[in-house]
Amino acid sequence: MSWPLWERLYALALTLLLSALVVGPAFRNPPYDSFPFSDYPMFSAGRPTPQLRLTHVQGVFENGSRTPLSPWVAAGNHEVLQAGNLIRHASFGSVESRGAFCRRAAARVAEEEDLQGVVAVELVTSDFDCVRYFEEAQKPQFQRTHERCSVTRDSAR
Amino acid sequence: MFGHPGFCAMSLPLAGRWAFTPRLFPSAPAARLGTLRFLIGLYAFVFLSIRAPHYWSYSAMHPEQFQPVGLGTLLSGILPAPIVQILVVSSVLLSVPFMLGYRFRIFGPLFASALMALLTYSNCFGQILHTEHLLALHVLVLALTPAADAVSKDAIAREHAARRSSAVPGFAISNPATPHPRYGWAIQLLSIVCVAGYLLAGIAKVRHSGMEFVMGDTLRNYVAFDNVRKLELGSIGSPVGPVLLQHTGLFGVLAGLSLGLELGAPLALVHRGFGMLWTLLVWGFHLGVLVIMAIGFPYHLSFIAFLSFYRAEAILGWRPLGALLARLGLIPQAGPEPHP
Repeated sequence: MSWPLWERLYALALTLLLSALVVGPAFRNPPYDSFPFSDYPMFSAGRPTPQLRLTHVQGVFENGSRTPLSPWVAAGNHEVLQAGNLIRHASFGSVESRGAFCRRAAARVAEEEDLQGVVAVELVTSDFDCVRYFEEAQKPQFQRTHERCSVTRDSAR
Repeated sequence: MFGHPGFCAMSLPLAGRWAFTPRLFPSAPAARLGTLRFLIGLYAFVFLSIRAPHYWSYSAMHPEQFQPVGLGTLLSGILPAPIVQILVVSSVLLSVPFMLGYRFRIFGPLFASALMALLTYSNCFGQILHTEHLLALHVLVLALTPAADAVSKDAIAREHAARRSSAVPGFAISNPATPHPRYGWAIQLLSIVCVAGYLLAGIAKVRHSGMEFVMGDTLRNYVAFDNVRKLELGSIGSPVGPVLLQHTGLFGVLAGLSLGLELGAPLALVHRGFGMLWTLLVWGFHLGVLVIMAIGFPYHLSFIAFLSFYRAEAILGWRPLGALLARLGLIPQAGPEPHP
């Protein structure tokens, strides 16, 4: 079976083009993480200590205890890492935008049956020792509150 | 485009023989590429059907959440909800003709475009998820290659047409089991984009962490870090990873193995045996990542991502699958011809 030259050139061109596009992000300065071409930087940055500073959203019960809110309730996104990034960005925002973000989370809390005891939502940044977190207590070493807002429920519901 | 009689007579002044050695463009049967198209299309159909509610949720995103990447940077803001919903539905629907190899020259590129648009858009909200890159690239490669010359509705229709009008030039029935570089290069390209991702991940680790990734506690810290992050962000962590944290030495070994697999990935292209061994090890690596970090790469874990390193058409000999494909009209009722 013959293979026309035109098809051969097409095969060569597509192979070279796609290979260059796939490998290219790693050789750009700085390397380029995107979709569908990426330098695949996940878990590549040095992490010599188990310290983690995380901005997250907590539900606060009447007795003061706290519970993590799901990615959807906290940030309106089911993907946990995307939700985490959106929460972090929200903490950098103005007082107004932080307040709006918090109120949107509180509105989603009010709609959740299993979060009926939650009376407030807090946008916080916490410092964790991630190894000690599992060995001792699942609590942050330090926590700073950026925003707090009350959960308002429609009593007619 | 491919196999069209008009191109048989085409001769360009550039000989370019140097560029077409068997190593660069190995031969493979059309049935192998067709089987890969069917399986990758089947995976895409199942994946998109299951994930459709999730992708649908991107129609309710807030404009402040939009952080475009890739082709998403061409957008000035979030898409209107109906557009996102149409994109989700059309991606699921278009995966069917792609899988079946039906009017592939039209539906192949259409599905690849829809999938690329949908996955790109879903990555435009604060975090790029690296679990879907390879699927998108594999679908793109298949859409641009003669992946429906066998195990497809198109091939069966062509065969029927050839039987009806054998006098028409170009309609000769070709044997889907006959190896030809026209199919081999496409399969090789699937393997290249697969291997490249791992190589780049290894390069990124060396660039950002150096040998500290293997010698130090980097991987152990990442396992702990990722599990805490998930739990505190209200998701599910791994029950196994935290238990293993006390075994410090284990993580050095795992880090060395994973970096070796990533940097050694190009060897998988050099020799078929290496390639098959590498895919098994990488699959084990993904299984370990799932167990220890609760991070699932579903396409890779399905193993379909690695089938370009194998004689994928061999599974057509599995009677239940052969019967199913025959009932779908993708192979002749008599079953596939045995591979020489």
